[in-house]
Amino acid sequence: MENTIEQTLMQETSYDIEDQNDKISIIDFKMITFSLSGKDYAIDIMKVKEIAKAGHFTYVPNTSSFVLGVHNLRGDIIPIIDLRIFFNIPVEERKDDDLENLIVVSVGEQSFGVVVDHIDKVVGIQQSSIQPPHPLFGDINIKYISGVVENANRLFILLDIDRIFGLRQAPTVESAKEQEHFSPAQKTIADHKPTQKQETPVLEHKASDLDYNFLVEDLKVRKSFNLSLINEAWIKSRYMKWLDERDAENIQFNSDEDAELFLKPFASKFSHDFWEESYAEQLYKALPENTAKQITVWNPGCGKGHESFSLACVLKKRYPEARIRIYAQDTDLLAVSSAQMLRVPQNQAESWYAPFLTKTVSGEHVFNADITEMLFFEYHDITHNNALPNVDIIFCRDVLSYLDKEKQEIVLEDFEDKLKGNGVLIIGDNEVLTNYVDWHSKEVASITMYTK
Amino acid sequence: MRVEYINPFVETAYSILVEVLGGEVKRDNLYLKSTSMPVMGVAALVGLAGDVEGRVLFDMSMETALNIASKMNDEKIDTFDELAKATITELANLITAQAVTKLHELGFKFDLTPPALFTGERMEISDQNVEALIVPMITEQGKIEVNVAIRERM
Repeated sequence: MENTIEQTLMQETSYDIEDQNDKISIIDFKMITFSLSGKDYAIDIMKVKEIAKAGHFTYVPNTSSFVLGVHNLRGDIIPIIDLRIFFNIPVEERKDDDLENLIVVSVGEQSFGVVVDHIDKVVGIQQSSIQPPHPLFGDINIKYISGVVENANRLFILLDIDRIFGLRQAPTVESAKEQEHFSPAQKTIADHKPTQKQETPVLEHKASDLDYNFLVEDLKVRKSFNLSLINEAWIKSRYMKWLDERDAENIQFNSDEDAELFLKPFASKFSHDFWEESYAEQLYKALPENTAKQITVWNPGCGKGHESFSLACVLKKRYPEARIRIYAQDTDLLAVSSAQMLRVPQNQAESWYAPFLTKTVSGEHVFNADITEMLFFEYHDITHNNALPNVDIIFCRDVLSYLDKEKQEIVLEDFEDKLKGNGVLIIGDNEVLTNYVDWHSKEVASITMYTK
Repeated sequence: MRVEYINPFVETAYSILVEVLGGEVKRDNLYLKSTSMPVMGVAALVGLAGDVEGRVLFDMSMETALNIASKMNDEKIDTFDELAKATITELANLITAQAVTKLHELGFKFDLTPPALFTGERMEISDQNVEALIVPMITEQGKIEVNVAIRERM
């Protein structure tokens, strides 16, 4: 992976040096530059009506969190948007009497006020020096970026105001050309595939190839377990062990039980069961610092709720100040309906779960109100559209491998879309995303987490 | 869809249908759907607003609708006239209203919109961004699909 990035960067730099001199000479594009949390951004000056200092915005109830309110700009009432909240960038605490730096942009007929940290200056460049955004930009959702510009040794990220404010004008000839130019910004599922690294492990061609392929096919039919980049490494190593364990004539599955036996080591630690303290402790250590007041967690494939409740307890301990919401979902209606009523057996009740439990009148151990009110159990199929807000943590163990290959791509795309810039994704112990350039892995306290 | 919402709809659909139609009513397996889906011929739609947003759609074939209207009015109805339309609309209202009452008791606050009735051949309904729960009910008069799509307001 380093190779590819380095190469790209090197290509880009050499390209820059060659072209820089003659590019600067003709200025046909001006942009207003500003900063959000120390990083440089820019907006096309033609979209900007004016800049101003303003404060004391009138709060409007029941709007999205990034809408600060409305402001009276010489008789025009304009909505005020905080870009930092919109992009999930940390916002410094506001003082009540402080005036904010405001860029008033006009999109179509409507004007919007955009609050930023600091407004810099107007920079003139040549339009052709705008480069399409690199998929590595994690902080801001790539679909809102129309390009990257270098000026005076600073890199400016050029924001696509029309897209941010959700307006699609009918493409004129020029803008159609522009869109073509920036097409990498508009990622679709079809585009997604080339981002997978080419160097996927190719199965060595051996005599057992046929056996292996047949077995993989059988896994799909019997257990709807689908071979993909996520689990290929595991299947291969498991297949090698399987060959040792079984007689030559018994390599293929004779029954569903055989397939189950094959998949048994795949299950993550304490999947569908209560967690041992050691695992809870590991997860506690692995979870990143997060000072947000509200933490949203997505837990697809929650089954009967053991995992969701255990996760809730760990999160409660990790982020005691935050309001935590866990959306736990499953397609098994029976399992997910009974999840809310999960009982904790006596032997578990005395373990690390103890502080989070309470007793019913009949003397059974159940989770207390603090924990249950964090959880929302939903009957939901993750391959369908969902209405979730942006999430801080996605906890999705042993789910992806049981989806069709195409659906895995769709769900991963959805994960990427919904996960906040500082969010983490945790997948099954035997699943990996190392073949996806969009995801970066890091291991903390022996738990592998992925970030965008 | 939150699991708490599912049962009130399934229960009331069953109990109201048994009450107004008499005879045997069976419930088929529930499932989820997110793509656009064809409507069988007659569809009554009730909107929900409040803590959540969404809608409940009662979908049946023209034949089933006529059978139900005949049964509920205790007379043979052959054309889908004002009376038949009013009857189907009322059935949708009955079921949704009682389900919402049940949800109220559980602490969820919803409001209803007046039902709207759609009829026609080869219609299709699509909701972007919401997945629908389908509750198929088999009555002696034919099959009714209760199609519930609810999402939390952000």
